[in-house]
Amino acid sequence: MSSLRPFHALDLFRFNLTNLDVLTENYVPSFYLQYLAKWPTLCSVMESASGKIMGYILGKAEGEYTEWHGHVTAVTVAPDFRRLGLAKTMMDELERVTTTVYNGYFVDLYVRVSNRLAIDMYEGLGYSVYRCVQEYYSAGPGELEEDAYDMRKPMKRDKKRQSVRENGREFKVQPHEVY
Amino acid sequence: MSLRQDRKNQLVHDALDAGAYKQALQLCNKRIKKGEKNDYLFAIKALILTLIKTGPSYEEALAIAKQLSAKTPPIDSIEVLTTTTKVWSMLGSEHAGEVAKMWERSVKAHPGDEALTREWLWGTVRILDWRGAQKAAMALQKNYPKRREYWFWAVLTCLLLHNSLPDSAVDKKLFGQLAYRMISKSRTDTPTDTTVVLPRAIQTSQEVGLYLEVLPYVAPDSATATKEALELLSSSNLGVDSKIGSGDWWGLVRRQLDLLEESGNWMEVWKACEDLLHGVEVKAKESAAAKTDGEADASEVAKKNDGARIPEAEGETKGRGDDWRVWEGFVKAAGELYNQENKDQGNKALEVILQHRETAKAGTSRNADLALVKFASLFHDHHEGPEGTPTLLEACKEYFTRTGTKSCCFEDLQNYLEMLEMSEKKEFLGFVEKHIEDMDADDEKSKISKTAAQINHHKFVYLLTISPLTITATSTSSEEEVIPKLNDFITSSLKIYVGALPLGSALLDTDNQYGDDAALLSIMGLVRLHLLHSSITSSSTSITAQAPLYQALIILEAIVSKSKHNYQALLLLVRLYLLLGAASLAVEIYPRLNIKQIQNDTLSHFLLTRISTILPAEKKVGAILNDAGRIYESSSSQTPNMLVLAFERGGYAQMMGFIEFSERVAGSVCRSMWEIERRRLDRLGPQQTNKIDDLETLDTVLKDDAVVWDNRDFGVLVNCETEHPPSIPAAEEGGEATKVQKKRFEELFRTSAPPGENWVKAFAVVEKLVVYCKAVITVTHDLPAPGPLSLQPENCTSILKKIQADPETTIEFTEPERDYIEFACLLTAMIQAAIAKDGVTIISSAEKAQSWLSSHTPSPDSVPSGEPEWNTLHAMHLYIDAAILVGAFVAPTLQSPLHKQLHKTIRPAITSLITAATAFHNALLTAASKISKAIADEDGSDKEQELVDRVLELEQGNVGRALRDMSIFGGVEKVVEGVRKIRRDVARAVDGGRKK
Repeated sequence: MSSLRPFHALDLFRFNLTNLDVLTENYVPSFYLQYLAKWPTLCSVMESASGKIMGYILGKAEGEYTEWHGHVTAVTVAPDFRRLGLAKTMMDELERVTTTVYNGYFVDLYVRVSNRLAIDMYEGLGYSVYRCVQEYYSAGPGELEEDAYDMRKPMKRDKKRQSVRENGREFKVQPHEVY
Repeated sequence: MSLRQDRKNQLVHDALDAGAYKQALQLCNKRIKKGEKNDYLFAIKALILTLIKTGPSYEEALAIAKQLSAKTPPIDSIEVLTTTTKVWSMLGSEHAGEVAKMWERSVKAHPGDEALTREWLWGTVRILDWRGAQKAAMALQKNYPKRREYWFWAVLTCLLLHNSLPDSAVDKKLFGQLAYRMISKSRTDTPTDTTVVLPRAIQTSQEVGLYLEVLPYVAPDSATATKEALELLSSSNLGVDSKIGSGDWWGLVRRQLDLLEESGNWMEVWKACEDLLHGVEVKAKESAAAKTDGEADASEVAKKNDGARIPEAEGETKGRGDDWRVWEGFVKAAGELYNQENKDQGNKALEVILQHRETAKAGTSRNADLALVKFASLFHDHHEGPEGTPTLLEACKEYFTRTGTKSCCFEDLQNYLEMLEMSEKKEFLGFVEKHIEDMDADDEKSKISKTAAQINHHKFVYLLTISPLTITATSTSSEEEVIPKLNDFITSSLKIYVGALPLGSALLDTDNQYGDDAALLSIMGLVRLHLLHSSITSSSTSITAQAPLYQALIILEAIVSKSKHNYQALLLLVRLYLLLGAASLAVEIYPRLNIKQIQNDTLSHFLLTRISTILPAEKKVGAILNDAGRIYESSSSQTPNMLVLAFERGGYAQMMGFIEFSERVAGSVCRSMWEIERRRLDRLGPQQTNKIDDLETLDTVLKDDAVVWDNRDFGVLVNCETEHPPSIPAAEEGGEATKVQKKRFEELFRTSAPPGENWVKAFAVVEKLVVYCKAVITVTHDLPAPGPLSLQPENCTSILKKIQADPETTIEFTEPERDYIEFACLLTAMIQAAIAKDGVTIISSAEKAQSWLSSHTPSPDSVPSGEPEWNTLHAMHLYIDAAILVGAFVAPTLQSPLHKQLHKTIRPAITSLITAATAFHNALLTAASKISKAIADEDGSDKEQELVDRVLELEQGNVGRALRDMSIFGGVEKVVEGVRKIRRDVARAVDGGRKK
């Protein structure tokens, strides 16, 4: 069973069900603390009835003018708790805070172009590909660099729906253009 | 500072960064000698001196710090002040007051310098000096009243100072009250509307959080604090539904529900939850209506034209009550009210639950489904409840029907199933079995779902029928019943696993196979079989007892060959290889867990606990230990900056968490454990560095007020054990049955009890003494040693004796460790006597130590009986370390020039002890060599055949037979190869402890 709550610094000791996972990155502690210090309300945890951490989301608010938006830095769910809609609940909350606290134009996230499962899920949540960032993901040993889709979902403030682009997959940009 | 000076300073910093402290010091001294006398040069020199850590350098650093702090006019360079602050903090917490004094003088002398005051605050925050921080923050808010954040920093620092002070501190209450008065003022300043906002008014949800943090510390009692907090949370300007509160809506709602429950106001809890759930209902209805109006599915829209939908009106973001915290509170409150004869709320609650279940389609939100189970559980014992309440059994069945193909189904139902009567449990299992039989398996998707349901069924079987079985042999008849039951369970789990493998052909490299959990269940059964056979044969090392572990390892290797990233299987492999003594294989598997960053503190214990005594000669162990230890350095350097960031960015409600995180990492039990392991490895491993190292970590743990934190994560490993373990019947008639303590699965097969605070203190003392003895010989040539080596032998003895005497503390130690501590006490007594020039005690202690050695010497003529396993390796290497300690401890007794007059008297006893230690060491090596050779000679022997026969038992229904028959395990030859690989590794581990 699942319950949403704010991410707490001590969760770093308890998030192994999610972080013992090949697709979930383990950052230095200061990375998580930085997010909690700067954007505490954009970081949440899903907890089971017995107190296990089933998943979490880390987000931030960034950009200028009409690019002011919420960004999903990490969203992860432990293998045993996937396909239960937990990611949606966490994304919903991040979107709510982006709108009510930060008044952002949109929420965005980056995903590997090969991660079909994740792309489908984000599309199901109302995100669409805004642009394709070429060779965004650096290569590990013996691997090739990979492109990323920058996926966006307009918030209330984006009345003109400028964060939605027809055929965004074909709109290619270089990594330096997105920083 | 001139460019030239900058360049010179950079050279010093480069040397510092490279850890070349002496070189950095030389660079400073050279400049000072040439007449350069700027404050920064002296400050950096003092910092270097504190890093060198010898008695004289400590004194010199202290003198420089005093000089700089007392300068007139006071120093105004932020660089010099922050460096001097670091120096003071390195000199010890007793000098914390000096830092505040230094900054205060400087700020007073430069009243308009805002940056200087802020730096003062950051300097104190970085070293967690809350008294200094409170002064700095107060100065900021007084001098710069227009900066609203300074006001809140002052509140926060008052609270942090309050929290850091002991209860006995006279001013503790004062700072709590001050924090409260200030934040109350902010609350009063907050208007009910948002038209005019005063600067010191509360404007963010984090500031509301700060208010809530302050409250419990200042209210006369908890009821008053709860009342005020609830009032705040329901207020229109700062409450959960206010604009400000909505920033942290979930956090505040949870807080509100917790407080309402604490206050026992169940009607309010019921109403609050009902209100939140009502929002869900409205939302669901709206969504259904929208669908019928022809709105296409959002995903379809998105896919079609890369267009996304805009979130509906704000109404959609309201009513997010479909959360287990809300449902849990709702059901709990309904039950409490129903029992208080307020039947209406119970009836209505049931209606709400049923209505929600109707609206939500199966498998979308499990909350209402599980709420029904919880609701039924409230009335399970007395079989009453609102009309229409299902029995708990019925509710569990329904839950399985709707959620049985999700892997979370087991965890959701676990507690409720345990509440059922025995006959109901049987009925539930029968129902699930029948349900699965009736499930479609026509296409791949339905086959995958069916596999998931079968795994859940097996988890229920384990929980309800396997876990309650005792793992201790009681009577032959029960064993005759239990062993086939376990075999059945293991083989049927394996069948599910093997049957599901073809379904995974399209899975990605990063995915796990669909049936992996079934194979993990078979491992759980095999561990139980091992424990039962260990009990029957009264030996965990008999072939019968060990065979299930070999079988488990063969299965686990198969799992990780198909699912490369199955971390549960990898963790189990590490644990089982260690248990069998195949330690190199555990070390080989470990990197596949990809343990990084903070996981080193929570998970590396699976491999590294007592590792220096298990595999001291393996080079990789040292590298893994060093890697695990890095997290402590990086955390201590980075976390303080994050505290500063939280101040600057107003993340006030996170602050307490940051501080606790920082304290828990700094005082982690693993930090000291890895330091002790590293030092032992240095003695026992092939490359002794023989360094006198920095003892800071161990010094910290030995302080009287040291708090040792346990951050280890044991709960990550798979667990389906019952909450209600069985009782063991009394052996004799009339005796009382023994209640078995509840254990997680991983606790059933630990290599030994996990070390804790007492373990690290005891072995920190030993390491301190080793360093002390080396310092006496190489540095001071005298007893006792001065300066930072403050812990003297008499203190060491008293710490060790205290730990030894208390049965509560000794449970953290293995038997060989308890022996080792006893031996260390004898050697410490010898040094103490040397300091006191008490020849008689030196001799008697040396004789006792010698007698300890004789009683622990293995017999030279016989090969030790029983199979070696982890504890054979552990005892052997620990005793070798005891022999090495003799050399370290007797040297100062003999070499100290002041004790020449004693030499003649004590020399025979000491010489005899040294000879005995050498003989002891050699005897251990000989025994190790014999054991190792015996195992290495096993290839193709009868003994190997016996083990293989046991692993591959032919009898129908046994695990061995399944391993033979299921091709995934590679057939007989592959299994023999696997067994042989493990045995060779055990031989290597026994032999590998020896220094080359």
